[in-house]
Amino acid sequence: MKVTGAQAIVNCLLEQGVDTIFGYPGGAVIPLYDALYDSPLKCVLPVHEQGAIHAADGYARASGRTGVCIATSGPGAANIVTGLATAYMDSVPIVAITGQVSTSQLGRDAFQEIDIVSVTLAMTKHSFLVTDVKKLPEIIRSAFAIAAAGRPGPVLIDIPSNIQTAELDYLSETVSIECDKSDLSLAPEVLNGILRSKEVLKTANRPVLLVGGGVVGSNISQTVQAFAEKLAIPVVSTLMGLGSLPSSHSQFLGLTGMHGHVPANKVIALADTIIAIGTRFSDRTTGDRTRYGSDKTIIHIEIDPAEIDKNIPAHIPLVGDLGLIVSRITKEVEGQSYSEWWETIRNWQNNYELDYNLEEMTAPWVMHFVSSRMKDESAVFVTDVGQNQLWAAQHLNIYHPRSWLTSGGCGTMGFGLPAALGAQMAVPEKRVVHIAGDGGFKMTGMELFTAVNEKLPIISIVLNNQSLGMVRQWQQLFYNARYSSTYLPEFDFVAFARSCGAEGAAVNTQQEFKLIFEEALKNKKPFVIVVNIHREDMVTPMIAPGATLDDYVKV
Amino acid sequence: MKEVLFLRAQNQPTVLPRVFRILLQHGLLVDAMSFKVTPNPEFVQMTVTAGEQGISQRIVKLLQKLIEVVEVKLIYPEDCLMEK
Repeated sequence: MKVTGAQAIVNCLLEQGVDTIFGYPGGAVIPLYDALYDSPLKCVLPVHEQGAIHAADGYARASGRTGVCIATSGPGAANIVTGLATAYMDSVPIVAITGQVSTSQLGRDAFQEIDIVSVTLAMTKHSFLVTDVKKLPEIIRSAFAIAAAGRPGPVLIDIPSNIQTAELDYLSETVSIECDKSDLSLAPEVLNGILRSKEVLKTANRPVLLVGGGVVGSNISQTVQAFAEKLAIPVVSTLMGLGSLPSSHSQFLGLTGMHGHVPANKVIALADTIIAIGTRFSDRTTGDRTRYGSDKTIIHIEIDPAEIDKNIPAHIPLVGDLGLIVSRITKEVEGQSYSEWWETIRNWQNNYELDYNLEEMTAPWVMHFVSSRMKDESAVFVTDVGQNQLWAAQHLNIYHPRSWLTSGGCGTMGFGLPAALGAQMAVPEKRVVHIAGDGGFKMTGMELFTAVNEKLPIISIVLNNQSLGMVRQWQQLFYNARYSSTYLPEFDFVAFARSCGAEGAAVNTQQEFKLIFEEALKNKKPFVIVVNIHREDMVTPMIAPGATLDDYVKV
Repeated sequence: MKEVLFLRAQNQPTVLPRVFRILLQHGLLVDAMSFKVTPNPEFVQMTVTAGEQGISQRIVKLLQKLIEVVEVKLIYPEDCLMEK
């Protein structure tokens, strides 16, 4: 059947099971938008292309399906660069389609021409420039396969406008969305490594299981939990791994890293063996990497061979499909008790209790309250970046994978609101709670208007300390309290929310917050709750950058 | 003797920039480089030798991740001589 390139794109998206796309039209994608006009695809129109790509990212993280984003050539394409980098650093599957000037204009500095394939080389898993319309379906199918396979990531397809209008013979294909793992088997060196791990764990006295974003991304939380329970081993999580195990699980000690929970960092610092699953040992997780694993046996279970020995040398690298490896190792290991180790750990836990100020309005209290209030609801927490993100990571209880979405690797301020929007579209049956600071909210806050138009009941909690809090915290601790460009002038978020058509309220006390939060829960519209907190509040505990995990900054 | 990076990839215009980006990210100073289409025109092959620092296993692993790359290995010239 003869169709246009634009129609072929739409057909391929439908083939892949795509239901929602996030995109912004422009000169070089008018043919594509014309084809979308008659399609059953839900097209979400954000305010800015950055909103489109973060929304596609939030959609992917919340659902596990590949997110789709469309932008035009030139500035449209350039505006998705930060979003691609964000998804790349956190291994999120996205297919980004950009329009491009027609092939006859390529390389002539035509209007709105940017060589986006070159620009995004460092932040895409792969990219394509389509110059032959006949190859378009094959390229789109490959892009979806590459985005989701192995370690997921964003793939960019740059499609010149004349390719969108050219005709081709289109043959539809049935795509199996489920990945067939039956033909996957473990390599002999992995099987050997599993047997060595078994011996290590038999003689270990102080082992710990470190779970990372790969556990969430590969949907193996239950497999990992079964492994942890069989071994009776303490479990800690990276920022990206939160939700891998329910935070209420008796073996779960919390977040490890720069702003981790004290018992979780202690257990890493004193461990003799670390089993790490789906983590790249980021500097925020390890602190000083030369001392992190120097006295420990590291068993590193990872899908990406390039992560082995990158930051922390692995004594036993187990590379391959995480689910297969963890299932196999669970079968092999013998149940342990590690009773002395647990005795020590329980001692630390008894001496360490999170303390909530029950009088003053503080961010930890807000997180604690929201967490308790949402305990029995299906909530998805989406954060921005900075103090708000770490307060949320420390004080929210995350019970399920994909209910904690945060920009971990790239640390992209402005990620929160558009990602919350995408997440709420992906999982309408759940309630999305977005947590931001006053700085990050302003970066992409206009997407509140998009959330209003899409009738999404997102609750945005804006922790307003009138400053760029995390930088301010570093300035106080390491730069002699010289607050260079970190104090923000007052801004009326409530008036802003109302002008977007959302609801809004500002609160100063715990009592006010409780009342307003209940009102927001009943509301069907986006609701912005501005929580005024002290400018001086800091995220604690804190490990100084480059220090070891038992070396806390005195605050 | 210095190691030689050997790489075989699909014959696509984007192969060179992708490879160069990884070399650049690791600050590699290239001493010598060759690039040619193989007898099978669907593939190209290249060799790279680098300055004092040499070519690390990490660079090899990152190049192996490139979708268009088919094969990457480090060759030690002594081994080649032995083979001959």
